[in-house]
Amino acid sequence: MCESCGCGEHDSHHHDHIKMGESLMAYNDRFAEENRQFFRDKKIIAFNLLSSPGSGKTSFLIKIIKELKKRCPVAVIEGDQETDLDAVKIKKTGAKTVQVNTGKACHLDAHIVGHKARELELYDESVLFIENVGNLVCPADFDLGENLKVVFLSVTEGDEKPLKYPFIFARADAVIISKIDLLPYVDFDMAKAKKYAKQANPYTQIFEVSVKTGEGLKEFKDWVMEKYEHVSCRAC
Amino acid sequence: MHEMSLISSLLDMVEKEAKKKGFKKVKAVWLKAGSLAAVEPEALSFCFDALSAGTILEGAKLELIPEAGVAFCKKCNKEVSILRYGEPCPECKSYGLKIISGSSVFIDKMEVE
Repeated sequence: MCESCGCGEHDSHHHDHIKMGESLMAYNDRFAEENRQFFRDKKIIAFNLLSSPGSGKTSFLIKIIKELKKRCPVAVIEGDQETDLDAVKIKKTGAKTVQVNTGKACHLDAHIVGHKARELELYDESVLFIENVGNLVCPADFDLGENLKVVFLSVTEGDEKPLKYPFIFARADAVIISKIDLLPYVDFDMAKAKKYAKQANPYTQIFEVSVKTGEGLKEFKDWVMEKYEHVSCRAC
Repeated sequence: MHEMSLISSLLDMVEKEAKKKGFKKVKAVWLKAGSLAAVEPEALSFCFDALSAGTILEGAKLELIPEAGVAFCKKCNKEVSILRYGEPCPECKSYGLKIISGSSVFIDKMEVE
């Protein structure tokens, strides 16, 4: 009998065992590494923005771009399953913007992001926001070559989200709790939400934000600028 | 359903390997799936059946070898095993473990002819 598989074909052994050991993410990760190098060479800082659909990523981006573009070039890769509605809105801010439609896929991958980043003809020392497809499961696993991951959680979604989707919150460098102007109307326990997010990742930065009132935008902008200066000054 | 993407990269990798080594058929493939990988075994098998039809992997047996999640606890200063992200250290109950392994899916080996 074959020792390695017990198949009983020892004498007429027509098959072989091939040892592999490669990650199924290797294909994506190779492109992610290329993207990281591309961003590094251009001193670009890239943020991967993740959330459920409807957490307010796009309206947040529009506000924050208006603030940031006084300080540095800003660009956006906008991921959605279909349409270019969001890209059209963001383009009005003056940021270089490109839409990606993922069609049947539930996430952006590093390969498409690499193409789109080059298509944008990014200025050196830009801030690049990659708005991922609204989904808290699949995008968590796909490294796009970004510097930092930002996960949005709107107060209408409930304070237990970090417990329900721990993969993505564990990888979040920052968590934006959005739509806080709606707090009086929903049962959202801010202390709990923060506690759960910190359980998933104790090092995550938490921002409480409202696009309507402007609350918390400055704090987030300052955080982006702090990270940006670190990246754009790397060689100075 | 990113299991679809995982299986299509599996297909790519196997087809490349087939070209290199000259085999025509895969009888079985073993995947090592970490318990911390965001992968559902049933969805993985479903996508495998759907995507392997008409390829070198058609009819191959898909075997999943579960792999424990391993994390480092700074407080205990040692490796501990965990089942899920967001779990505290099983010993000291503190959060913020550093994941060491068990968050990916690997092709371990194949049986080919």
